[in-house]
Amino acid sequence: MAGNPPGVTAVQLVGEHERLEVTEAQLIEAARAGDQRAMGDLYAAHAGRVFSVVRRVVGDEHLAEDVSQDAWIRAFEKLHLFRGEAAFGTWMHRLAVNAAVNRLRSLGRRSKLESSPDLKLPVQEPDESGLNQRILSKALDMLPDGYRTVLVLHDVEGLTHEEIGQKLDIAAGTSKSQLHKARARMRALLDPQSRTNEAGNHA
Amino acid sequence: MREHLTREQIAALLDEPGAISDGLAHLDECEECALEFEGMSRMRMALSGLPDLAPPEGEWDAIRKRLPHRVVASRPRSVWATPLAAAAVILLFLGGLAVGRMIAPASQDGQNPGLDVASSQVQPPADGDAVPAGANDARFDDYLQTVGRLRELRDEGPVGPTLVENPALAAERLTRLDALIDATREGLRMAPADPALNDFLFDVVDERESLAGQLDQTLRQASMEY
Repeated sequence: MAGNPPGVTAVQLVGEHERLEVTEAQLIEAARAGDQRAMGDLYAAHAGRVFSVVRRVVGDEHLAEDVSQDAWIRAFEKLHLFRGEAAFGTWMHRLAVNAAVNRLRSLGRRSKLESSPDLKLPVQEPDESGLNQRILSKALDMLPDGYRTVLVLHDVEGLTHEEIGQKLDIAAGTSKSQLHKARARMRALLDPQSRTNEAGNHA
Repeated sequence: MREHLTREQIAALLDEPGAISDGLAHLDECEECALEFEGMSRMRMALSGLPDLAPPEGEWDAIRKRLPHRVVASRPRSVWATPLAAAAVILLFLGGLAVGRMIAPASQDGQNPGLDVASSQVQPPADGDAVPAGANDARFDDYLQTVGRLRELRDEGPVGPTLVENPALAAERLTRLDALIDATREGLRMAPADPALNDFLFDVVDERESLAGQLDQTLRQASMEY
């Protein structure tokens, strides 16, 4: 055979390169026009972040899958309202948080701050940060919904107490108080032996 | 005698060192509370550094199936109203022309049969000119016609799953796909978000990658046998 047919040995991902050059604004414009490929690209760029916040707020894998899908569908339905004042990721993140909080609220779970059942975490093997991420996530799931929501939004997602208060319809001071209780509960779950004499006296 | 700080108090000290009266001074004196403060600091740091989770497998497919019809346009006219899209018409037209020249064999009299469908006159509005009523619809129809011609060009010539068994035919197909990719890329340079062009490009690139991969494998096997 006299040489390879053109292109046989040099398979170029032309389409992929082209799409990488498309800006997010252009994807949003196309998605607004109903282009599913553009929607898929937007999804691919932000799916991890959206699912993470939803999963951590609701504290349940199956519920998170449902809420995450709802958030995306709502986003594409409301895309004409996105004006670009903030980044799309920021807008989408806000939608995801709202979807998660609203779902907990509709299930009547958010206000439940009763004591957690006597759950035990498996023995952890600390990683470089000193805490095993799997154990940390497990402990988050074990928190009451109200504690977990505030803790995730503040310590994981970096929202201020004012922002959390607006989302949860609570005062900023309440958010702060909930955060401290949530941290205390998390510590008790993660290291139950560390404070055997909680609120006790010095010898 | 001094009471230990509670975990809630220590949690408050993380964000506001002055939240508890003499709280920091207590931490200096009490090893147990200082250790708890340290543990809580590590926990907060670990929480802030939690990596994103992978979305569930198949989530996009599930979302796509649930998208309401009104969200997924079958004929995205809204894109077409933009100047970019108008430019895409011109470019597609030129692209179709180029594809025709590259792919269709010249006939005896030098005419190129690949140009037949794509030869409609599509002109951009002059700068500052008002676009007459219906002009966008006419351009849109031209656009659809040109996209249709691109698809026709894609479907012409040797196709089918057994193509790879004949390297010459497979090479001819690859050449055709390369030309179509070039023409579509030209169009996308002017209108990167054009849905039809993106769809078309992906289809053609997918086919090209698949065929090139199969052909490469066939050639490798053949070279090993001989």
